[in-house]
Amino acid sequence: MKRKISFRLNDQPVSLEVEPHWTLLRIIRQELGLTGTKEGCGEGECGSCTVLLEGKAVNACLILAMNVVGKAVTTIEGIAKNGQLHPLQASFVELGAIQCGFCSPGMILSAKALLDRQPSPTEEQIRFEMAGNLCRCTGYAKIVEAIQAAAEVMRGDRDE
Amino acid sequence: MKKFQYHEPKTIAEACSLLSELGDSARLLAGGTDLIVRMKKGLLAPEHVIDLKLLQELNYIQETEAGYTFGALTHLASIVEHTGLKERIPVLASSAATIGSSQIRNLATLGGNLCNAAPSADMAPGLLVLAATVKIVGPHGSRNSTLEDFFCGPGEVDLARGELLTEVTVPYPAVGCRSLYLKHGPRKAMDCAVVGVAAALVLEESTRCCKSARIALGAVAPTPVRMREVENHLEGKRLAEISHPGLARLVQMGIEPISDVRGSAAYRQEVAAVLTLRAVNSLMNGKER
Repeated sequence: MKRKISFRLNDQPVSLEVEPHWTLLRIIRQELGLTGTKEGCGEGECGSCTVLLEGKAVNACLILAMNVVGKAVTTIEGIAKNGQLHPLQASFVELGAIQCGFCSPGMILSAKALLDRQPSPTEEQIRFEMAGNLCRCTGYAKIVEAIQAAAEVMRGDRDE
Repeated sequence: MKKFQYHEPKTIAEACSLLSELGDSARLLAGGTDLIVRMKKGLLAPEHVIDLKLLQELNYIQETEAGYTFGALTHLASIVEHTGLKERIPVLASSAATIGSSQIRNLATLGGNLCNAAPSADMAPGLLVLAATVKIVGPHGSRNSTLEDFFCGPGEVDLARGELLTEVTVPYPAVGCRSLYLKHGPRKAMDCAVVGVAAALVLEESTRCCKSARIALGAVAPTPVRMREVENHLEGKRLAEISHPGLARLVQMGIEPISDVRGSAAYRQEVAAVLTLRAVNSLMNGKER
């Protein structure tokens, strides 16, 4: 039996009817049509379904839709502002941290959660925080560089 | 995932009453990082899921005069990040940091890690060496238990029908106590422990003699285990007086590892001894995690 849930998605109020066994990932992609968030493993191991729940990185594939009632969810579609890419999106593009792009939304959101909390992470801290996001293409080096570059921008060290 | 009847109790009493009524046909949902995974893989198909999300009064870390108390729904991420805890009982924060990933730790709960009762549960060894106790609430009231007694077997804890783990209490370690948790596995993250070792030692300042030792191992027995023979062997000794083969033998006699996908029993025997020695060495040389 379906239940009605309401929550905030990318700063907008959203209401829909869900089955209790539907995951957040399913409703984001199917009911709400936002396909930037990807399903890689469906088991919380790969991180390609990473979204932000109240600003914290979580695996949408492990969360029941019923569990975000009244909360704020951010997907990759929600971090550009006024048509301008978020510094992380821009740096991923500029520094070649994207090859096939499948892991990128999850990577960027995990990195955003990190930088919003810890504006000057060391490389070790970056790698630790990003451990839940797998990439088969890049070998991670460019991803780390892109995160460091975006951190600089976000700290306002460079003119932007 | 198969469909299920979904319940969201508003109080602990309601949760206990549902558990009593539904028994084995129900599973409790806390963070979901164990339950949802198994349900998606088809390993579990409960008819009823009791979601504890509304019981946010069970989500807390409280510093008291005697130590710390944790609500069962405390997220592992909160334990990793708690500044007071990192200072006063660092082994708990460092144990939590070895579990999963940031995403998992933002969802996973302390109660879930303990009640899931994997022999490799990473929060267990640190809590065991600190003599943690647990509070259990049921339809007939509440009771306490040592964490050691709480673990009964792989995936089994001492919870009767209708009972719920609500709180974990950790007394402050003795002054001068040094502790750490070592987790061994093929990956630096996102893996279960092949062997886990927690050690808490109090050394005599001048002689660096071991005054008291607590050692607990994970992933090498049906439950996480305290190693009392090893502890007795260490007490009263300085580092130079500890025979490596002697200690190794005591470790190996105190565990009963199995062979599984992550390693053979023989491998675990080997690593358990090495890791315990490493932990003891590290602590007696003055390092602490």
